[in-house]
Amino acid sequence: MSDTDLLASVDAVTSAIRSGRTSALEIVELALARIEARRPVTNAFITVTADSARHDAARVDAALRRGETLGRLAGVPLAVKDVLDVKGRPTTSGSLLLRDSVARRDSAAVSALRDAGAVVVGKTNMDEFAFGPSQRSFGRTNLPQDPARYSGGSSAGSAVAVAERCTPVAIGTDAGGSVRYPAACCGVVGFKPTFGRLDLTGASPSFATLDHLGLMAGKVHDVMVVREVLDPMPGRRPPVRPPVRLGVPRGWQHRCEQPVVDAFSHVLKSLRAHGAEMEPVELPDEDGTFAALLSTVSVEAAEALAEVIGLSRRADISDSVRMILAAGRAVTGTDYAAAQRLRRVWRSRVDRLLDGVDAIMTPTISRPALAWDDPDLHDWKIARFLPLFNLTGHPAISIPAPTSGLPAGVQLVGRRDEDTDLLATAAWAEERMA
Amino acid sequence: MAEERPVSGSPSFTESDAEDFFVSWAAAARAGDRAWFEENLSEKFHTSIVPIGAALGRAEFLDLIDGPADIDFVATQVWVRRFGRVATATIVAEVREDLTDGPLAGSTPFVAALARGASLVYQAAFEHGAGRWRCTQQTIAGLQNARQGPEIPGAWLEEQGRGRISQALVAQWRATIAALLERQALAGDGGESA
Repeated sequence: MSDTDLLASVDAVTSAIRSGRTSALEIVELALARIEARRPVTNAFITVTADSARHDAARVDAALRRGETLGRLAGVPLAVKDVLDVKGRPTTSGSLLLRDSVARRDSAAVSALRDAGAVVVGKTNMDEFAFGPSQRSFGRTNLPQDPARYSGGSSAGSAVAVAERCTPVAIGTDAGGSVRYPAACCGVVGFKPTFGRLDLTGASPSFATLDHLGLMAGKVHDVMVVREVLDPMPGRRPPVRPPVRLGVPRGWQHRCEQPVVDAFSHVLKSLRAHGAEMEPVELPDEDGTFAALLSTVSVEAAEALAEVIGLSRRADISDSVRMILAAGRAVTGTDYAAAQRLRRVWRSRVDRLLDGVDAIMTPTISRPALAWDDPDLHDWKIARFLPLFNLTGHPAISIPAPTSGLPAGVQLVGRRDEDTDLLATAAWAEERMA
Repeated sequence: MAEERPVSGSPSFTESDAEDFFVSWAAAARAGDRAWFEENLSEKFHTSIVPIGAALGRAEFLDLIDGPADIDFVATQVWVRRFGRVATATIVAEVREDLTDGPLAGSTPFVAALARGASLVYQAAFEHGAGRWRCTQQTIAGLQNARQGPEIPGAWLEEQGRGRISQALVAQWRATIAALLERQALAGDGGESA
């Protein structure tokens, strides 16, 4: 097994450590070397926590020598989006304005994963304050497959860290697609749970009614493992009972570019061949989705960033952030309330759609990763299938779709609070569309 | 880009209709499709093209459509107001190709200004008759030349006065949400869950 294969999955790391074939410290050294080797190309990390990672890994090794029971993630290198607090390290939110903002404690997710033995090796680059594309503070995070392209956002560095096998798993946040979009661009798995299921305490900024903790990994299985650490649910994983019924939005092919049409068509064909049944579904209006999203997120961003932005000069903030904050000031209370009402209506509608199918399936992105100089770089339509499920709170996951070129993704959306079922369906699909 | 669909035949006129009309207009101009313009411009149509100081009647404008043209615009923002059987649309569009070095380079001062990323604003009036909307007046003005300007829309918004633009954007979101809630109510699909 090569060094990068060792960093490709949770089980590869933990079985190597538990069997004594390697130590947690050696695993961390591999991860740190990989991060440094790839930094000039993709620039995925803002902070590398080498000293504390070596310290934590040594503790895992010592516990193993003493014969103690190890946590499920003992010795697994973890990358953390720089919006989530890691004690003693700055949480920059992708902005130089916060480069001296040192966290006094771990965020809830980091704390839980560390308790399970995960070793934080670094904090990952992201769009400034999670609005992008805007990565001027710490440089661009480039797509591993083609560094002239944007790796998606806002959790860009976390997706790249997994894609480049710097770490087997990474965490990020998703308020409008920010985990699923970069996951699809980079060819990894990105999962956002049902709204509120995973604790976002210690995330800054956090958008009150839209934000979700997100998990990224190379395979659905590893997302399942990490989610079980963060959200233990009694009982075994539910089996997938064929035939799997999938709701596919009407007219999806008219809203995607050809490489994505080809990839998604291939997935449909493969899953049908394995007995899946496809049902056309009508998703809510796309322009309305963005109107509701922006009417909501602009207000919540203005609230979340008030303190930071209040201290800054205009030149310190990117245009994307300035625009959203200006919009937040223009949205009235009545506008915000109307958007929330529309969200409740849509949540019911998506609930009803999911009464008839096991999951809704869409392309994750409507075209492959964009070049940095693409005039459409700021066009939201590449992520057109994503924010609806932030508005409704349904769990959603992006898994890589087989392609002959740049990566593409397939999004599966499940019933609220039935995240385990969704992950089981995703694992079923992942295996059958390979 | 919006899906292709007919503009005509609907008494309502939305931002999507205006954008579709604009997309069809650009496609017809690219193809040199004079018949499309004859069909979709009203008999009293006239246009003012500010960058070249031209004011043209319908016949003069149609004479400009004398073959395929290597142009590519995309609408980036659309606002619509409808007053009964008349509607106005303001469309901000961006030039997708750099024409300054192409075969049309310098053919007119207007074309010479069309660097990639240049922004134009189209202000158009439409009238509804015989079951269809047709364009009756249009003014084209240049907002900036990208060669002297920033590369991203956000920076453009900054230059144009962010407060004003944000108000316009928010008004657009407000109208979209209101229309959807109204449609929802009319459809009796008001079920909400906790």
